[in-house]
Amino acid sequence: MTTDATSFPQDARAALNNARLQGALTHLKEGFQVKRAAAFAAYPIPFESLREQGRAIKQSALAQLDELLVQFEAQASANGGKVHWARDAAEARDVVTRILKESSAKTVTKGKSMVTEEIELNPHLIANGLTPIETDLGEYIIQLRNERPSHIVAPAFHLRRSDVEESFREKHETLPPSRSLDNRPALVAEARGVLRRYFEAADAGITGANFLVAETGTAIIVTNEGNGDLTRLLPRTHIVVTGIEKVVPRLEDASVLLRLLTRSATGQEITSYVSFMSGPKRTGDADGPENFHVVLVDNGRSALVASPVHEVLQCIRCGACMNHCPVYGVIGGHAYGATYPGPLGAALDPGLDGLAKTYHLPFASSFCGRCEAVCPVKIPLTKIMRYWRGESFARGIPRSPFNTGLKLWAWAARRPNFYRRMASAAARVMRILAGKSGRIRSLPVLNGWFVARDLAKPAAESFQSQWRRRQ
Amino acid sequence: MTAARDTILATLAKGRSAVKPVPNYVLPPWTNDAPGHFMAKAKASVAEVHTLSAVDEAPESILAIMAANQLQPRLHLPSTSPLQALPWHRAPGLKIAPEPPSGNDSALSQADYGIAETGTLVFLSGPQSASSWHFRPGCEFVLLPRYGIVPRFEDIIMRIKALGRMPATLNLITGPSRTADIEQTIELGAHGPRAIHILIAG
Amino acid sequence: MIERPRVGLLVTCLADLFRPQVGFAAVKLLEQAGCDVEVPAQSCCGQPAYNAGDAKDATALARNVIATFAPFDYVVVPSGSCGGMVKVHYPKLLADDPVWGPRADALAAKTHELFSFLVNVRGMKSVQATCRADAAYHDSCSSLREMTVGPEPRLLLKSVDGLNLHDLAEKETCCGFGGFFSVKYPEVSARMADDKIADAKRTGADTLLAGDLGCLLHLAGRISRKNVPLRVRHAAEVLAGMSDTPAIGEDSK
Repeated sequence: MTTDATSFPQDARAALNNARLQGALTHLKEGFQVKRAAAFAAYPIPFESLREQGRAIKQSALAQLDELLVQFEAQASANGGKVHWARDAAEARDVVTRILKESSAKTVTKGKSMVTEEIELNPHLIANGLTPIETDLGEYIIQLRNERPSHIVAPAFHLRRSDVEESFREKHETLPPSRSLDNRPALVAEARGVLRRYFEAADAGITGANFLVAETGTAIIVTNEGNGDLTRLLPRTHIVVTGIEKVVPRLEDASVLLRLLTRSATGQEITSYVSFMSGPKRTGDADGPENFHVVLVDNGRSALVASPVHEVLQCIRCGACMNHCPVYGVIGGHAYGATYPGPLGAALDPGLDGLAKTYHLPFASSFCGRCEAVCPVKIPLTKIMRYWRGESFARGIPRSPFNTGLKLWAWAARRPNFYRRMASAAARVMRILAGKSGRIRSLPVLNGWFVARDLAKPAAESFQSQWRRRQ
Repeated sequence: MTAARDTILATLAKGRSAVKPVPNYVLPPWTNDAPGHFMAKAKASVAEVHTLSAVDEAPESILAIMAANQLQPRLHLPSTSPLQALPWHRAPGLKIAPEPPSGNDSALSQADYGIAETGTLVFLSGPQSASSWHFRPGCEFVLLPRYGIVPRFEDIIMRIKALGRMPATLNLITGPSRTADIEQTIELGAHGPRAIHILIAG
Repeated sequence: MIERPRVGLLVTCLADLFRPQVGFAAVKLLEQAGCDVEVPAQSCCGQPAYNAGDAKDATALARNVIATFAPFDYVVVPSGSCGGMVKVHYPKLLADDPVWGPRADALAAKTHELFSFLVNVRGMKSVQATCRADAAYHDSCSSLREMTVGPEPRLLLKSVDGLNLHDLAEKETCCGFGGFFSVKYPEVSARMADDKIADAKRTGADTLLAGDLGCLLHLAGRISRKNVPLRVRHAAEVLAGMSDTPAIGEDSK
């Protein structure tokens, strides 16, 4: 999707007033948060030592990413697969389209892949005469509705059952209108039937990869539905589209990260399906794709490896940060206006899309720190957001009278005596404005405060002044 | 190679830093009773678990389970599967079908291993093992030899590395297919099987 | 334990300007705990600049504070937020400075949040104070996650005569202050405040207490704007027996 978070304040306001979204957001606490906590509490190894291991594995991989990718390519090729490299979104889209055209594909099934959202693959495929069908139920639903995912694990999180029924009735035109769809099992059964026909008709299947394993040339996908596997196994051609930062050295590394991922994302010890895909079918295999392609997508990642925010590349896309974020928890994912919402987005999107489009995101945080407390690979999210705030401040993206005011304030604060005199003078003015009440309703500055709050009147005499008098 | 590859690798080489050694892997504790642990976890994942004293009991057992669950007595089994050699005559009325199962059919497979830690079935693709059949049917029957149950996934990794080469597809399967994509409530049978019956033999 | 330690009070800008009684309450409690309290001339710990991405100014302010408070045995702060700035972030800010880095580390080692200092360093277990109120206690995020303070204020508050203390159901959820976040994204911030206030009301409390004036001014401001019947105070005021004074926002003198 095209990232543009410049209208974040308005979008956040609209989200706060969206009753349907607000209803959906209650699931964060009752669902994701509770399940994750229970899963780690039940596990015999403490979360802190598990996630320290996860951090070490990911950091070690990032430190030697080029070597691991070369090793992965060699192994995948030895397995009969083909590895492609794409510097940016356009190149990635072109590579995928070319592979599909060369294999005369028409209908393409897709497993859930946030990187394909990032590179805006579907519109490009459609423009090239191809028909991509999302098969993850949540992704399928939002595809019907022409919406973007609002959460990286649960893309249709913002919708109600009735929204799904409405979309199915509208789009599944060949089915009898009198059929009952007023319950979840009926909706799931209908999706199962409709999508099964696409699975069987598909010429090619595109999935993402949760992890890549360098030593064996393996791509790993983690699902509960099994749609990723039907996408991979039924068509002639399987294409994996993946960010370059997903590679780890060994299967043992992936095993540790898988235990962290499923618990952090959905509170499961393991998902229904974990699939390790190492090339096309071998000669004589009962089934499997004849062609296996892996498209390694850079799109800004390689530049981040050497940057002060390199730790954001440790992300295993579990969604725990946004599940626990008090801001995401009241505005949902769409308000962020970017591929990746929540704290992950605030840390990553400026690196991928540039600050000009995303400057609101690192500021739209109260720095409560809950995200980094739950991150299974210990990404220092607030440190990274503060880094982007520093970039915004230093480069004037955006130009802000706020920053001028801040510089003046800091200049004064470095001169304590002057600062105290200025502060006392300001306090006197505020007390006049407060009049007879104990509070101020508005000020000519910092009106953001007064949009929603009053401010207690400053004291008649500051603490330090009183203290000095008493000494 | 390609310009894209060169550019990406060159940028990454600049970002290379001293590789810190990763400490010993943090693994869950060893279980002494792998089969017992496996059964408990598999049941928790909403798989049905049955025990047989011998593999040959499978045909009768499967027919009985199908009757109990009102399933059509028609079982899909690849013609290349070694399970074709089971005594199917002991389950009269049970038809064996060689073509791939559809979404409401039942199918049979043999698991290569079971993982006790999570109640997970392990399947390696091969000439006798059709990976897609784990996802096509409405109900999957899985024969799992008791001796194939190992404590953790790491034990599987060891065995696969001993084979010398990864299979094209390695599937870890735990319970039936499910989704929580509608209002965060779990429903079974999203795309893969709605039900899974594990027959532990031996 | 030092017999009569010299404690430098980092009073915090907000207490200095808006709520001096918090400073006096801290002094009283520290003296009760056997400390000699001094208040060196001070301005700001620099957190507003730091979180706005202005590391240069934050570093300059940090050096001021480090120099000012170096002579003391302990530095005590009636705030998890400002305390966290000194204890957790000064060492990071000055990590690459061969002179000020070690000084920042030294200051961090002897800097404490007020309640944590009273209980963990001075061994205080109770106070002699009365406050007839039903109070909900709010943990600021910095107290929870940077300064790991939680049992200490509760221990002391439970000894206050007549005080009925409640925990919030969502104690790990931010109140929405976050410094300039509250000004830049006011509707989101206010909604977070509303959730916190509703949480407090659900306990049946008539009073809201916390250890950070940032949270307290923000919540009191929202409570005032929405006319919610909740009185807001810094917990130090209650512990020092000063709860008979007007609550935050109610002082019309």
